[in-house]
Amino acid sequence: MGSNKSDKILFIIISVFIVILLISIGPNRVLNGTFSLTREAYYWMERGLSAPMNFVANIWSDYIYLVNTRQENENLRHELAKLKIQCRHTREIQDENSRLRAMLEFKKTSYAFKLYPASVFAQDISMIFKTLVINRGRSDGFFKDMPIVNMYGVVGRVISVSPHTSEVLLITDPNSAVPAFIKTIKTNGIVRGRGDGLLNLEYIRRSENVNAGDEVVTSGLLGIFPRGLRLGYVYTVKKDRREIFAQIILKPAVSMQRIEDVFGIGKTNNKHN
Amino acid sequence: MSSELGRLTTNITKVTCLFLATVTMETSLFPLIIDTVRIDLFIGLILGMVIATPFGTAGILVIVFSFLLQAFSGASLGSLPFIYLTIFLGLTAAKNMVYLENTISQMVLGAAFYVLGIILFRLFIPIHISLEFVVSILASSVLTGLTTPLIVYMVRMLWREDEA
Repeated sequence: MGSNKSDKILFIIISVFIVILLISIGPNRVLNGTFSLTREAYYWMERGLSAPMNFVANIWSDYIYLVNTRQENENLRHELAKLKIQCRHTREIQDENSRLRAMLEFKKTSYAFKLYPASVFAQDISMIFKTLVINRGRSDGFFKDMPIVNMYGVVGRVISVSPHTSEVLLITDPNSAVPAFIKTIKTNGIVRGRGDGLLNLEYIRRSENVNAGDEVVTSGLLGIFPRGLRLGYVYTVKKDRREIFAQIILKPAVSMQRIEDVFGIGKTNNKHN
Repeated sequence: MSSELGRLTTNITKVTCLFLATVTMETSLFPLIIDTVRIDLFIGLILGMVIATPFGTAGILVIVFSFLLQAFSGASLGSLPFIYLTIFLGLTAAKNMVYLENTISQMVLGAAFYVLGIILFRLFIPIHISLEFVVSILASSVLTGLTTPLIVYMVRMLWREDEA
């Protein structure tokens, strides 16, 4: 009985030691490899399980019910999503060009996006952290810090990548910070996740004229997100006379609850004319 | 001796399969149905192991499983093992005070330890607590409590010590 108790104490001490060690290590290549391997194993297991079920489900939906329409519809949906993103970006480039013309001899800048489609196949197990796992990885051209968007705006960025899966940190996660720009007043700030589905827009001076409904886009600073991608809209603005900065809350452009299809943005090519 | 080892390996394999099934449900199935609530099936798994398996084995499995869960979470390294180890030790302590075989006790403990887990998560990250968030946490804890006895039952069914 006594030895049983001392075994328990020994186990607790060793466990606590392991946990403290894990917490203190921080990001580590070997551990990241372990997590990648786990996700990979899960990816193949999930594929193996879902393939026969999808096969049976698809017999009806793809072959009996509508032979070609569903597939065509799916392709068109993907195409439309791609075009919407490209169209929005083109508009942004036009605005930028106009501004640059107005500023006389400044060089025109345009960006060419290469979009990589992916689907969400797992979400974070907790309600606190906002991450997704998508079914595309290193072998599909995805890389760490790759911006992830959908047709409505920015979803997040890749934080870890394995051969066939990537983990995406959503912009609503409290660990996420994105350099941003309020379109109407042309002021830069930082958009940070709050953990409750909304975003904080920080470092905007109290004196700035920010109104509910103003669109906030990525500023392109730091180089992770290209300029002009929609982040969200101003939801509330609070101005305290004792504070230098306004307290601005944004509603994300993307509804994070139901994300199914996303696009990764490939390395940007800057074309200077 | 070898038959004991074989039985232990079989039991661990069966519980690992149950763990993988819970991961599939938590990461893929539940978010598809509803995103504003999360049911933590892992608490039921821990409680089941506390009841049915030896302390050391259960403890090691909790640490290994929670470490693997890290691959599906943006939580900082070590925080998931910390939280689930705390829940495991809490439930082990509760074993001496509460009759864990009782379904109602399992429900209450499942719900209570879900809330404890969220409070512990809050230590690692400064999240904004809104009314909606509190409501979804309460709903999640109730659902976790309701599913806990089911998972406990499954663990007990899978972990058979006295096979002929």
